[in-house]
Amino acid sequence: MTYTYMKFKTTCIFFLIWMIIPRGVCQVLGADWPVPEPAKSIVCAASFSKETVSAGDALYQKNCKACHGDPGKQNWAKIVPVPGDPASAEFQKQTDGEIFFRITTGKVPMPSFQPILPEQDRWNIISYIRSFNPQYIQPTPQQKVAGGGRTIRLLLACDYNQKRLYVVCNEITKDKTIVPVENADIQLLAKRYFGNLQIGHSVHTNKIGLAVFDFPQNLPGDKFGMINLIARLNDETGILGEATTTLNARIGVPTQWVSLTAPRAMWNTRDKSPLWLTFTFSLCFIIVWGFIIYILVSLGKMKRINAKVKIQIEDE
Amino acid sequence: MGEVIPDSNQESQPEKNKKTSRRKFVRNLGLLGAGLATGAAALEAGHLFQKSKFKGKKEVFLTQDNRLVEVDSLEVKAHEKPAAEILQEHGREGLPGHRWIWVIDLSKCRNARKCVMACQEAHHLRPDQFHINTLEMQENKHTPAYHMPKPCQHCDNPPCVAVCPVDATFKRPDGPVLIDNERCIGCRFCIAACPYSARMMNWSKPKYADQDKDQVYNIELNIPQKIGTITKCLMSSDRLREGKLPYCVSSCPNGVYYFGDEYEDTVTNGTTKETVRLSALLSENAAYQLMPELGTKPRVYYLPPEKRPYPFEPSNDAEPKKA
Repeated sequence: MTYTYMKFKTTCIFFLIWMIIPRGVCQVLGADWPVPEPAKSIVCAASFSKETVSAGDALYQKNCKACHGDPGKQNWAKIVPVPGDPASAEFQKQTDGEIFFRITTGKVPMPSFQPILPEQDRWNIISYIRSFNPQYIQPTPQQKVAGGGRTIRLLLACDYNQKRLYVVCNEITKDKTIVPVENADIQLLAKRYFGNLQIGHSVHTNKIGLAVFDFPQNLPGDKFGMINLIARLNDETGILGEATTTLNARIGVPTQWVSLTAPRAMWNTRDKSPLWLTFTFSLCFIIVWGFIIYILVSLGKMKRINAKVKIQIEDE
Repeated sequence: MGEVIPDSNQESQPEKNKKTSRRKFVRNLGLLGAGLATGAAALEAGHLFQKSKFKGKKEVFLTQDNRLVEVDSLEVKAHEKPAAEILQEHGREGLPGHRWIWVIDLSKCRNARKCVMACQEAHHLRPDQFHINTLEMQENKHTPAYHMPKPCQHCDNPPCVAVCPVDATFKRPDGPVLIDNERCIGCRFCIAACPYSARMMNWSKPKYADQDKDQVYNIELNIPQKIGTITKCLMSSDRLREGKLPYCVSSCPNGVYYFGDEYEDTVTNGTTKETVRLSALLSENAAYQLMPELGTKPRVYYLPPEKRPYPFEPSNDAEPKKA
């Protein structure tokens, strides 16, 4: 009986502890957001310095502070899952590779910073976060730098008959032989004024290192329908490194620019005012001035007649 | 007779003077010639040296139609037109080939007011002047309250522009409605005409009046602000020229704003920098416009405040509440 009671008590305590711990913390740092083994051991190629910390500080204020708050002050945004304090011991337990992976990939509601910040900026943020941990010693970069010194080359080609785009992913090995890269995640993007628009979903390369994309649907191009395309290696784990290639292809809808001030309208400038307004105004102008001129002419006539009459009276 | 001597003396004196002056003149001419020749040679040498120093040096410039061109540094001359005139021309012409569009996702706004602050800082406004403001909205007591950022709607059929008697406020070919405070006479017809209350009057001396006194007026930034004229949202036209998102859009910490080009059918989120198809974003989220029934054709779309993951927090009393 006492044993059962104790067991019940223990369960209760564990349940209470489980209730007390903020669920978000468990979610963020727990098994809910697994990091692939190879990504965990990735380290920064450059060593962290005062410069990287101050650069990371500026980037942190702009990109991270809104949710994570100021490191060490535990003033994160009140959202679920709890963003957590990057200066906390729990957070600092992560390896550099884990933090890098999580910043890179993101997980709703945390955005993926891969398209926003270049690799070095993400490392700068990590160097800033690590500056709150006096026990931290930066691991020496051995062969575990992102890409590990591998050379990946992408080729982008367009087939207008099949309406398809092909991306070939090859690795140039140290002895200059070209080896196709299988299972590489390839993204196809269209260059836009403020950023790059992803076309469809990313595609994994097949055995011969080929990824096939369909033409985008009704995507506006320039006046000839040209679109600047970018193929990008989406390497979240940091095993392959970064690689991109571009192509200007005629796969968009030709778009002719029309000025918003082209139509005749009340709000437009004088030379583009509505025709009825120009006509009515001109008519009113002619009528009013015509009337004034008519009166003046009549007055002149009257004066002359008056003078004539005066002379006649004097003669009589 | 005694009078003759001084006379002859007087005659010989100028003759002597003439002789010496001619000699002096020739000598001076020789000296001057030599001096000039030396000077010219020195100048030529200096010029040649300067030329050789800069020869082959190219400078890179960005043209108005966004092309990068290389020009020999010797060919570079300052523009003949004064800066004020160029800024005016830029401001009126806009960026051909674009049609800016704005999407505001109300489900993400948490009244951080970072957009308001960034805007006031960029345009040198006082804290009580707003080009953009976040309002507390509630349709009726049974519906939830939400925050709504409200900038100028940059209408395609702008009533404010129609009533301006001096062509101070104008619609630009690429979308934004701007104000030229060099032309504005402060009649405030536009304030009366605008159904969105998007315009402000500089009733008192602007905040940075003394600091901005000598600055050339930039029509795309509306700086320096001028007492007795209108100030309004400018869609950060100066930033668009640089290929950057507007001040408010890029300062939002909550991903409320999308901004982009209608012709590219693309908008970019100011916070996450995620770029998405405009048509898909509008149709998937049941986008709407403010008072479209007035026929103003706004250039700003709103996404409804649905599925907000946090409770509504009314703004602090310390902060200004409503426009």
